[in-house]
Amino acid sequence: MVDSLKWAHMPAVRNDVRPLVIVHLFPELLNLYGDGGNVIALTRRLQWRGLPVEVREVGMGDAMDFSQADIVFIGGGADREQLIVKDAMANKKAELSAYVADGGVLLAVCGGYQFLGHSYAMDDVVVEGLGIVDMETVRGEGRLIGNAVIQSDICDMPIVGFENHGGRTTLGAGAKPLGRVLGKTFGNNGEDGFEGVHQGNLIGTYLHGPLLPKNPHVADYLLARAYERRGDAVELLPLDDEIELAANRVMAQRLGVL
Amino acid sequence: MGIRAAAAVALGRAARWGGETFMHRSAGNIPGAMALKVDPTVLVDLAKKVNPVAVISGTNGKTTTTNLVADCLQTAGVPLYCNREGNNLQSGIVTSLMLAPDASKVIDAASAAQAPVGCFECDEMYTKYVLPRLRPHYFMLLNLFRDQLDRFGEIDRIQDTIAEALAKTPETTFVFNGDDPLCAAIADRIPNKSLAFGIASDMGLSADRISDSRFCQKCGGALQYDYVHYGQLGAYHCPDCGWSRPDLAFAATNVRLEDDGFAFDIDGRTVRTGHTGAYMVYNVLAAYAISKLSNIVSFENYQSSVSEYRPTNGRLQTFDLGERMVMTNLAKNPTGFNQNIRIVLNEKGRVLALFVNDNDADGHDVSWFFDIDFERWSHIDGLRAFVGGTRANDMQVRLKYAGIQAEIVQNVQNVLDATDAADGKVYIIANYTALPTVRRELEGMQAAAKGEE
Repeated sequence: MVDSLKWAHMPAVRNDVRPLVIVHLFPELLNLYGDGGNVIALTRRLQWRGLPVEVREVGMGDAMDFSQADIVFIGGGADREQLIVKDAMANKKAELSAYVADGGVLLAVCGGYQFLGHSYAMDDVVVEGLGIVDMETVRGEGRLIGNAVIQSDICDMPIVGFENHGGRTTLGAGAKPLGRVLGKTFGNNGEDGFEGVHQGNLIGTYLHGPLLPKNPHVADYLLARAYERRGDAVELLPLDDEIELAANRVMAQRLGVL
Repeated sequence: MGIRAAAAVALGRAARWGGETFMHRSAGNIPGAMALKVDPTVLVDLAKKVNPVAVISGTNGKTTTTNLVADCLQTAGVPLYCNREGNNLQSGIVTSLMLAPDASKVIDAASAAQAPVGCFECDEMYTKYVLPRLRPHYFMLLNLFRDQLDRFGEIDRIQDTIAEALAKTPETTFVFNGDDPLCAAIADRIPNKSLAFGIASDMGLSADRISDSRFCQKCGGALQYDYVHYGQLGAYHCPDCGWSRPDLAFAATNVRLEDDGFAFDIDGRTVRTGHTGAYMVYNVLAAYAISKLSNIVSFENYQSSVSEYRPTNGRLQTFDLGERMVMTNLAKNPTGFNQNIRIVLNEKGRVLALFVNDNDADGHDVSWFFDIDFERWSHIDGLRAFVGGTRANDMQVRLKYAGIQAEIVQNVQNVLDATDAADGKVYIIANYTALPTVRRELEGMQAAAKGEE
């Protein structure tokens, strides 16, 4: 077991593995709900295992070659930030689509998740999405807000987080949800019982919190898929996740699950 | 006062008497809430008996600045109305105006006969009721930071609300933090006279990782900063459209950290804040602006009020437990926590305890823990960290990912038991509903320690 508590005890970085490249898209604008915590979680979980990692923050004006990316992360923003970023996002449409089609690992949360569909509505404007996922987001009455818990088939433990969205997302026939809502969780639209999307190596979800620190299985799932896609036979050593799992359990129990 | 307003006040007073007599607790905002039920515009009538100097709002620092301004105004020797305890909704302001004014600092009969002055803390979203009804001479906006988004909605809505409230009281002067682009954007869209305060020299602080908006409020372009103090506060300009920090009517310069805290220069004099938190420079500077504008506070009285200011509400409060010293402070959002992290580093603290709840008044969403730069603490030698409150587990996870091993505790006593005097002062940071519990426990310990002497 790797001692993950003290940085002082962090293992030496292995030089027989190529660094995993994590691309954080528009961190200066899409970071409404501690979304950067997802990148922190991925980074630490690699460092605790002695695996080299490189985080590249891609801003509004920056060019990016997604061919070098192993994991792409997109967070959410307030309406104003989302409107600022939408054109820059549209400019990256072809590259991002090609990256996902090639099996690239992508995690998109909240506003970033809404970008993935055919279109999404903000206030009175309907914005064309990236069209990577067969889904549609419309405006609903009021916001769907609260602690959330879902059951997914990517891990046994429930996934916990916090949702806060005005948009109602409905998946098309070509898209598979990340999981089913438990308890009073709203999920994609508060009606069909589904939350998020999971297709190939792409995960989109309304759950922030941030998502990965308290759901270490999801973090490790993304890491494993990234190595697998690259063809690297890197074994992810088990970590001592007692603290993360306790936080997960406390929230799941509070929400009447477990 | 109209019959309806008089009835409202009478009913509210009765409620206060009942509350204090039978429930043994401070009236808070219940009397005001009851009076408002009877007469929703009762504040209009109550405002007639006071010279409303200032209403103070902003995400962080409202209560501290309001108390500082109140202390300064009281040096003029006139009676004062103020909601010092931080009951900052309209009902809290109405309650404070229903009570007798504080005449404890009144020096002579002539001063006592003057109209009482008023300064009030006001929640950002309640400015829409309070400003048009109270019509203060000055409305002070300290800052706008990301705070409790699940409850309040986004900062744009707060800006809209404040701008609308000010437009309804065009005779009120808007005094605002010019270093904050989110405050300055409001000044640009209102008819009111406006005056900016700010820190006009680089404090040499490293920038926080997260900031709310370093984007131009006019055109959306990326702002450029000559220097950043913290958060989005600093000397900014937009290279695209030319929008920039406004001229500062109240400019602090030469800000430096001395042995007893931050000091700065203004109008050819030196002001000593007596505190090691950089945000206290803004609070003390804001109090300077209102003191000077009020025309009833001399510089000497202002400085002595600042020097004598001793928080009693758990904010920057120090408890002497004999063997042990404990400092407590409130932090309810990333900027507040980042400021506290700096205080601990400035004072070379080694024992830290964070108490965090997620009750209604705190906000239910704790994702902002990951917006706090706890990594700065990870290099402290011999660091002992503790977490408590309803979201202790989440904070423990956050600290782990910052390289800090923290233990879960139930209360302050657990922290004191797990450490000893050689570890030095204990720093406790708590959010809104967690702080009163911590404070009560420490007050009990302090009283016990004094009893033993």
